[in-house]
Amino acid sequence: MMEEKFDFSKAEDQKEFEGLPSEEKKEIIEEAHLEAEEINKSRDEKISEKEKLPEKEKIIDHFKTELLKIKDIKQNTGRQKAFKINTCLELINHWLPFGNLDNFEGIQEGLSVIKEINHDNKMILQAGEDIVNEMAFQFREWNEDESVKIKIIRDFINFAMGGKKPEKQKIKGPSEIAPGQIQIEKKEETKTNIRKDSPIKLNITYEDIERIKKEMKEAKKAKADKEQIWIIKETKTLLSYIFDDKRDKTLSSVSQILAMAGVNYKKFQPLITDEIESQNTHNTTLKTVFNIEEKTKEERLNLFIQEKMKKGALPALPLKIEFYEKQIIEKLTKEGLDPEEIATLLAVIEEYGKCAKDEKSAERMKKLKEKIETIIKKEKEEETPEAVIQAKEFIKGKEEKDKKEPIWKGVTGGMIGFSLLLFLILFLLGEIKLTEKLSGLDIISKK
Amino acid sequence: MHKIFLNLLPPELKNIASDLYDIILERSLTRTYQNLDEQTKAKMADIFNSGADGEKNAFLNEYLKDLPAIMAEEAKKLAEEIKTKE
Repeated sequence: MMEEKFDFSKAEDQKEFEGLPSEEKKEIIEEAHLEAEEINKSRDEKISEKEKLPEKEKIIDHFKTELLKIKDIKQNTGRQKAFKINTCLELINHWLPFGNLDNFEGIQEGLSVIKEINHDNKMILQAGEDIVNEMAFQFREWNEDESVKIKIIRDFINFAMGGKKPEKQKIKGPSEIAPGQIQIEKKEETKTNIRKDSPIKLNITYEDIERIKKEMKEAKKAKADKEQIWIIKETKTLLSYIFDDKRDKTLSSVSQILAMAGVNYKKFQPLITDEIESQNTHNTTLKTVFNIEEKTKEERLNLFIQEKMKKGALPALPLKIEFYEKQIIEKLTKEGLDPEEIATLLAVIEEYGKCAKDEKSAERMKKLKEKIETIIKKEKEEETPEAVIQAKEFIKGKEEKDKKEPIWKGVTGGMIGFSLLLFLILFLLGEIKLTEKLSGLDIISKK
Repeated sequence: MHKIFLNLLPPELKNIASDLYDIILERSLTRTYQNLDEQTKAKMADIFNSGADGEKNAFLNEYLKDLPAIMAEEAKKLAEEIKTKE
């Protein structure tokens, strides 16, 4: 940019300018116009560059902008903090179905924002679990090397749930300890916040737990003194540590989802399954993973769908429909979708099916149906060659004979008909729910 | 249509999707049919009228290889048609 000759906010510069010969004045004004044009041009270019971004980049850019806005929210009072956390959780929720587009980096950044404000482990653990499960669900569509993806999942688990505890602190599984006895081998640096002077022994038995529980009840009745209340709290922490390890559960869940997605266990076992600390959970998980691997592709697909519906994140905005439509159409013209990709989409569709039941959607659905009926009626009036009708019936009949087989298998060896149906359903649901555009996703401004 | 897939859909949506699918299939077949020469058209009519399943499959594989791509195009066209219809 050209250096400013005159600063017109200053009286002396204005005076100097006024004193210049008219030719020189004209020249300066023209220069200023040119410069303004340059600035406008560069701004317009920046805007259109953004518009030209591929769908994937647009989505990442949109969520990143939202995250920046959230980071700017003040957090001086409890109320502000709560608002910031909730907004951030909402953003993560929206972002989750697209997490793989940037290797879940943005989502992790979002979780860091929450972590900085609130150290409530429960909330972080829950959000972490949802994110990690989704990483496994998106494994197939996630465009990255398998080993990199597995490492990202493991690292994220460590980030959200803490790393693996040193070997000496490991809790032994029931098969390794005497019946009725639970052991923690090291007294210090355990996950619990037990004080060194705690009256609770670190080599405890079920009898001890029962006794403490009984004492807790009695202590409550007798309006327990501080020491007794402290015992209650410590025992609760200890019990939750022993019986409810979220990290192990998540690692187990991820291992199973990956197996359902058709990933060979040898690839994820060292970094995911072997990170499970409880021997019992480790053994059970491996057994389940082997069982899944023995299943047929279709059986695995069914399991995957069911799991995705229970635990997966589902896109909930039209922007995402457009994204999936594009994905399907691209694949449609090539070789069809993978069963795993289809499973993900099925879960999406199921969610939209639910949305379609509300009153407003039902009204839109009615109108859409009327439009389609007009098209169908017109179509039937047109004459179709007999050979075409018979070919159509043959293709449809083939499908009826064997419902498990997708149509077109004989033609392309792929799942074209199935993908096409997915496209149609997404399109219909998009039409029913199509009320918000990209700009309408602005989470903060909606508040 | 795929059993698992269809079971997930609300009945109304299922019927509409099925009808639309029918239109796309018919339009695509008609488009492909019109591009065939007269001799192949006659062959097609013959095979699909009285031929064995094997012959029909072979015909689809030989002459209708591009059908999936055509169906994708027709699906997009139909979607546009519905969107713009008043």
